[in-house]
Amino acid sequence: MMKKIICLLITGVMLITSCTKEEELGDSLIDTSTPQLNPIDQWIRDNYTTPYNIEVKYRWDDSELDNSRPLTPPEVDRVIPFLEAIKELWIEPYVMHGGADFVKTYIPKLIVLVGSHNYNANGSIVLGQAEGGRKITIFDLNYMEEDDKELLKSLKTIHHEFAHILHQTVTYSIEYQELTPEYTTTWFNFSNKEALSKGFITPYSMKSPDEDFVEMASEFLMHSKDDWDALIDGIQVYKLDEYGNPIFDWTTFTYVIDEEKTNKAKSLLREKQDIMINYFLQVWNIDMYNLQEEIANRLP
Amino acid sequence: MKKIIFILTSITFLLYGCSDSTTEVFDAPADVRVNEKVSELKNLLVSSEHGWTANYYPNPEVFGGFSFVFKFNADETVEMVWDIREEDNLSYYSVKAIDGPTLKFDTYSLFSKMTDPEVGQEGQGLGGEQELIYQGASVDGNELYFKGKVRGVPITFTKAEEQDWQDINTFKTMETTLKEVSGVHPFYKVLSVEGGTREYILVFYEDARRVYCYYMNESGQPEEFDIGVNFSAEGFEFYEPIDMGGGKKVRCFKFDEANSKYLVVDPGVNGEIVFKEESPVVFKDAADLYFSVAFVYSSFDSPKLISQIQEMFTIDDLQYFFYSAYKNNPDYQEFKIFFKGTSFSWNISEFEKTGEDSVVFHDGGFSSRDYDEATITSNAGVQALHDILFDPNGWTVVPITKDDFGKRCYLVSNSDSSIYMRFDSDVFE
Repeated sequence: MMKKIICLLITGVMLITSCTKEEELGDSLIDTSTPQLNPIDQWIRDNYTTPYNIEVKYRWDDSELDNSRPLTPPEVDRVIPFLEAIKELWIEPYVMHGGADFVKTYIPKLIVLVGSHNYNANGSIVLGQAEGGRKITIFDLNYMEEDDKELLKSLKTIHHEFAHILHQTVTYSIEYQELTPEYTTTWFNFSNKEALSKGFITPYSMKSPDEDFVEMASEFLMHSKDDWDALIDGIQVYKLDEYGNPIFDWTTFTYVIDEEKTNKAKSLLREKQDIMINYFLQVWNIDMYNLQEEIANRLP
Repeated sequence: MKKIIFILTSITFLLYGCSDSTTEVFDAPADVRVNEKVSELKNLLVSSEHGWTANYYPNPEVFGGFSFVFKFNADETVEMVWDIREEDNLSYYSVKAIDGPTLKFDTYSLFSKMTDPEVGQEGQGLGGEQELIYQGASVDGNELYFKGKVRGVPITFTKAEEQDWQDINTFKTMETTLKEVSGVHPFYKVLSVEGGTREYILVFYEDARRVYCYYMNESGQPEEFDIGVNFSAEGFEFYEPIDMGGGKKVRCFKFDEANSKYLVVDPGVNGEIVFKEESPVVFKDAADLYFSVAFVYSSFDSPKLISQIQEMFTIDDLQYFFYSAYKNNPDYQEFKIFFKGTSFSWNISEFEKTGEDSVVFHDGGFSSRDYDEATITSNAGVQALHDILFDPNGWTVVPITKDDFGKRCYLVSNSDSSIYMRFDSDVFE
């Protein structure tokens, strides 16, 4: 018995020691040298990465994009002007009214810039995309000018996507979606006027409670207080005939206003506004009126 | 005995299990080899003093080729020019190890227009790519071979000469020449070679940079295909050789300006493209194509036609010449000439199809809100146009494109093939 044990032990020792191989690892194949930064890279590092921990990709990286879509990178000369505008109209206002820590924590860590339009199959254009609170992709950079409406569209998209990130972190009051429960997937069949008459700030806000909430927030921030009040207070819902057409008063040469529905639409939007304002104040300690004024003062 | 067997068995397993039976195929690990290729490509790209030329076919089945000259710099900037128009561009590139050593055009450049959804088919672009995977170099290093990362379309970079940066601005002249040789000449552009059994009628469609090739096959039936082209300072070349029959193939052409014809320059092949009075081919289904849609014609192409109707242009500012031919709808069958603020027309009482590709128009009478017929037709140019349009010998319909980008065709007079007009449809079926 003892001899068997000894045999087994010897065999085991030989197994263990003779199969050991020692190889030299050699030099690392990973390039750990400091990357060479061109002026754009340096500007991004100084204005986005260092202060806000944001990475900006403007050089082509198809791993960040949908390869089934024909897309192009941005023109070199447009990168810094666009990032300057976004910093001034999005990041800095939130830093001032939400705090630097708030921005560093919740702002997307990656911004991907695309030069071309991003076409959907139906011919519409995607302005921007947000993914998982981590990344925002902005399209159309090659079509933006400094005071262009394309830039404002892009900015509104950024505010819209950022609001998604915030409410996905801490949700808003459930009362919000009970105000106008008639959400619809065919929101694109409604005009701006029709959406307002139903208590929705835009047609797209009719898609779902979440889109409704972030459209309220982003539209609020993209209007000055006076323009915002004019938008809401200027709502007029017309009385309709049996065919669904607005009734025209030939004595006054105006359409007949349905006072009840008009007041209801305004009231709904103001209630939504209040919920949105309270959310930002209570959850994030952000006074949206001050933020609105800050952005309005900075808009071109 | 059992113990001995046990020990021997154990030793056998030991020796077998610890033996290193792997055989190294390569002289270095994969990562090392890829990094070496990346460095090789970087060095090659910047090594050429005057850069590299390339003819790129972003989508060989749909479009022709576009020519570029690149100069890659060590600081990852690239300068480039192209053959569409005179402009230059500075942008960034990089070389990375992705699916192999890959050249990436990192920021928007002239090369990005091969991918831009605003160029070519709106929303779809030309089908090009931003990333090219390196396949290797020629032995002398004067050529670099790539293929597109997504679709695998090949592209070759050839070491450039200093003159290439200027010559590329002349390619447009060859494109214009392929579309229309200036001066009075018969319409039909016929390609033939010594020893070949086919003759092709060539029709160039400039929007897609493709040539439509019409021929009669060995059974005497009309056939056609289209092929992309790219240009050079001397002429043009097909994307790939085309079959001339008799074992002959052609691809490259040089324009002989003195004789207004193209010469084949492929080694061992004598051939040319010349203008001929009559077409050696029948254009399949062409007459039916012509009857089915409305056409708009925006200018008079043929110098001989213009010279014969010259006096018509003295009436007023000529806007455009419109033809409409909705089948079986007499309200929309007319030739209409628009002047500034007004127009006159001739109704077409009948479209007589006299062959698979030929039609005769029959005069259905004058019509105008502002012009008196006797007055307007006393103009020699107007009368000449009338007689040409309603020529009893009729017209041959030569298709340019039939689908995707809309229908376009030429009408070539059967009495004199140096008289022709081009029509673009404004209705897509």
